Amino acid sequence: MKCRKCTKHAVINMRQHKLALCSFHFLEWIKNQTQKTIERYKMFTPDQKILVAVSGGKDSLALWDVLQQLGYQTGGLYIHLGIQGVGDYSQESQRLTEKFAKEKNLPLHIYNVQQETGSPIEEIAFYNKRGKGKPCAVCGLVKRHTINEIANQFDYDVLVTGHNLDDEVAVLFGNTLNWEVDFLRRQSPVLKAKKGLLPKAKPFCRFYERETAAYALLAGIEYIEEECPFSVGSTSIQQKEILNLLEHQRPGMKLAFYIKFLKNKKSIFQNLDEDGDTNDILYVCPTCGQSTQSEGNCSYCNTIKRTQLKKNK
Amino acid sequence: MSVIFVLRKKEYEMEFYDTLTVKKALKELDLLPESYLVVRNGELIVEQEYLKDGDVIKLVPVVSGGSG
Repeated sequence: MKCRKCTKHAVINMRQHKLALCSFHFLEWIKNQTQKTIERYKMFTPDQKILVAVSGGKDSLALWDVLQQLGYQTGGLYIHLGIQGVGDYSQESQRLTEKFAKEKNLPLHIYNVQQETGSPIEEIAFYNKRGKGKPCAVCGLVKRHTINEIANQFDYDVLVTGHNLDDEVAVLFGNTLNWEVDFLRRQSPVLKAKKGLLPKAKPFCRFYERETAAYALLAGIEYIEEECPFSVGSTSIQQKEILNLLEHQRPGMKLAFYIKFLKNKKSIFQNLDEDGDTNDILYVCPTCGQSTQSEGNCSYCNTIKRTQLKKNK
Repeated sequence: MSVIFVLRKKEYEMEFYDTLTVKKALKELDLLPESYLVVRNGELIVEQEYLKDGDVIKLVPVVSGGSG
């Protein structure tokens, strides 16, 4: 199979686009399409300071690489969660992230949950009602809080994450199956800033997971191939496999599901404002100063306080 | 003739007699091409590619659980 743009051997065939490309033209295609997505959803501009949430995985490192190649001002944030697993998952993820940042000469912030709160993520989950057995809910809470803290501390304008189309479609699929209307209403490639919260953007939201992995591989980015030990057998992975089965039979199904959802959101949800964001009222947490949806301490501060109290009993 | 597939540090040997494409091999392994990248000698290869006797093929899973 030949590359659509030259006579070289194709290294990837994207059936949903009817497009086969060689290594050089695929890397160019990813960069061009990322720039188009940034502009299409008005995500950010070159004069803004962008914080990239990096995990050491393929998506976030590939995204950071593409953004720096496109000339955006970026800094990375790695959150060490203290997850062990086979081969010390968090330690290895941090090593690969640091290696990438050093090679590209990019600024990297490292936040160690145990050092900052006194407990690794599993312990925080253990001492709280949320996430007994699996710390995913607590992990999300800690990540959101830390990202906001670092973004405010270092004056970043926009937060970007490496969520790809498969992530977005799995969320959309799951929320549709459960008719989670409020979550469906919030799902968007870009979320406008709210009081104390940075705008968030997902520049890879139109790429299949297979494409971000191919980019990382072809660009020579070393990433952690192992899964987070807590994500093994997760619902999102099961749903992704089901969606890939449908995609296999009908190429382009995942892309169409997502794009048509975004296109029809305004007619489905009547109280969306112009930018697809909600009009939630936010309060300020008296302990950390971050925004919260109810009066008093935010969920993060309550969770950490509860952990410390129970641990020291 | 045979090829060896390496997936998550485990090896699987597949014998074949006539020709074997990546697409056919993935089907025999009961793997979806949407969920894996196929690498031979460090190079990505497409589904239509023919495999050769003695090839060592790395299968890279692309499905991940979170934001990556």
